Amino acid sequence: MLSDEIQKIQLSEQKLTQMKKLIISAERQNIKTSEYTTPDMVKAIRKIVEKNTD
Amino acid sequence: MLIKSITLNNFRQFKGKQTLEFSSDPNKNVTVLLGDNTFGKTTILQAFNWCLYGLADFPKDSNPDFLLNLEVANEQAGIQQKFEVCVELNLFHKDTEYIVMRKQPYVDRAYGNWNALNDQLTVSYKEEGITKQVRNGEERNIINSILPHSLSGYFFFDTERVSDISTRKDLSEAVRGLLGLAAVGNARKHLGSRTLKGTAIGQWNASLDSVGDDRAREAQETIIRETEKKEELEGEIVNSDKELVSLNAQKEKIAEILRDNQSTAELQRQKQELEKQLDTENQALESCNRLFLDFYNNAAIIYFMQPLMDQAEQCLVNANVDDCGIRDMTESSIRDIIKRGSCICGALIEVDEEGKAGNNAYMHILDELKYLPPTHIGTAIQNFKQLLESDRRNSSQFYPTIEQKYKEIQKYRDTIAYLEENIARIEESIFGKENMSSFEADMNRIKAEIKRMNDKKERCNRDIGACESAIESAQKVYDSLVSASVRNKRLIAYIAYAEKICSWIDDTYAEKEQEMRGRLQERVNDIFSRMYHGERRVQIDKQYHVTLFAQINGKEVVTGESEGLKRVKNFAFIAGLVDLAKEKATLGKTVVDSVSWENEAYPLVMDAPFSNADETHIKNISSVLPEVANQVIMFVMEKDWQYAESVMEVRVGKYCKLKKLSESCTEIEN
Repeated sequence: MLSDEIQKIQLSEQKLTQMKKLIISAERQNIKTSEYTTPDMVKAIRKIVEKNTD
Repeated sequence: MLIKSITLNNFRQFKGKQTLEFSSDPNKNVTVLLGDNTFGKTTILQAFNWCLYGLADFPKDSNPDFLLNLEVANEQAGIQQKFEVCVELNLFHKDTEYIVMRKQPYVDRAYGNWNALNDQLTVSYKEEGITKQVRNGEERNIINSILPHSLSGYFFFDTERVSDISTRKDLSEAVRGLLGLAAVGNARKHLGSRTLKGTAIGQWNASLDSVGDDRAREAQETIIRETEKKEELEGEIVNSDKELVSLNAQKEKIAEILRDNQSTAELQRQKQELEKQLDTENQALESCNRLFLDFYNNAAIIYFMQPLMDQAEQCLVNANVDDCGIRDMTESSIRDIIKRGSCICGALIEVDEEGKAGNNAYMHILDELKYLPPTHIGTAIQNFKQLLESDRRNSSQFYPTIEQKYKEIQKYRDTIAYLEENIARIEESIFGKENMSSFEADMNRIKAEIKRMNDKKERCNRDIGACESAIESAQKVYDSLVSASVRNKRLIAYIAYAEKICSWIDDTYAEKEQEMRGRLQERVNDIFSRMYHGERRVQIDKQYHVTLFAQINGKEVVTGESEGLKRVKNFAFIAGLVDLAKEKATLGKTVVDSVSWENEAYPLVMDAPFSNADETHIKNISSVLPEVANQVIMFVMEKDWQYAESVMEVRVGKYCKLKKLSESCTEIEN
């Protein structure tokens, strides 16, 4: 089960906080300019999580 | 957000291009625009609304939809003449300078019959010195993110016409935006969930290879199974090679013996051949003897009876009984013919009643009875003679046949004797020598074994090839799936982090909103108490509707509100909101997992803010507003300003005045 696998992941609080900050910052920036569409923002969030997880 | 300036170009009574600049000094953050009734104060406020949201609310009797300055419209009248109204707003928001411009083109269809064409909205912003235009279609979103339309009535406050906060639609989303929670809401929406394909978590989830692990396990099992099989086959080849070495050694050894005893072997082969022939000849002789004896037993008696048959035949020569009867005719046949009454030749047979006399035919056929057995012996003798003749014919072949058979027997006996003689001679010559045929049999056996071993090796090599092919393809599958599995692990980690962030947002967002609402209520109450000189309390519900309660006989009840009270309540709400909005926002339960961000200060643009307010209220409002708002822009009549001036003067950074030149032309004096 995927949920069981997810439970096993050891999350780094430091990385988690960094991700939260970057995601909210990206969203705040986009609220200012609306430069990116929803798919663009989904992609941007994925990049933030992927970069900070690896 | 700070408003730097507004430029009106032929907008209503503001003929030509006129700019109104606002104070952005934090200590002197009030801009006062003085003007009496009908001078255009409300028009400027509506210019803000129109520029940002495309809406302008003018009195019905003032041709509300026609924005073009009337003087210009008259001066420029002419068929197909075009002219445009424009309002440009220059503002700072979150360290970014925005220019919002709305244009309304008009075309004259028939000398003063101006028709409005579609208005055009552009929003640009400056980023690192470069002006960029907002993506087409996103202008309204940007404006709403800067200042939500649903709250525009508070920020561009038309005191005389503003509706009551308690009756307005749900303001929660707009308030969340102002308090900086919209970004968090958007983040939550974009992170999404596993079932939403268009979201980050949904996309990672869709990329997971859920059956990859099973397939990898299967491929691994195939590799192990085929490798074991291959090793087994290789072992068989090694064993076959050992066996072949041994067989080849044996083969060589026997070949040497056979080479050394080649003549003996030849003789032995000859002897074997002769023995085979002897065996065949003996069988043929035995068969011949049996045929000879059978023939003799059957035919000899006739042969030896011949003299007696001659004598019997001589005795019968003069018997004169030959040829009188009809062979095989019986008495019954004759009786039947008589009974029938006609002979086979057709003659009638007539007979008397006693049967003793009759016609000639009867008598003639009656004579035939005499030659029939037992009445007449002649027929029997005739048969006997014929038998003798047949026997004589048969016995005539007896002697030559028996002679022939005897010769055959003798021939076989001669051949057998010859073969036995030769065999004896060979035996004599190879007496004491080894039996080469057993070596030759061994040699053949070994050769067959070698062939079998080589066939086995060939088969093993073929099977090894198949195993290697199966291993290679399974390895490829395994490698690709293992990489998929590694990818899966990464994806699961991403989902784990994202879902953790989601649950953090879910846990804290609602709590944060509730906290913000509580704080807003607290702040509004504080401001309200400073503005209103009475015992009232403000309550804000989930839709951010504001209700006033009063204490009556120890109980809190909703009370009726005068226009002045409503105005103070609305001021208190919006002042509380802008006051709270400029605070730093923090989301999170603990310091460790909290995320903070700077929020934005907002201006208040108010038309006739002190209308219907008494002196005390004016002073109270005047002291509060510059404190809570980052920027206060007030359009006031000089008579109202006199009460506020004493309190507010120290905060005024800019005074402007409206100068009415005519009913359709007003000038802004900066």
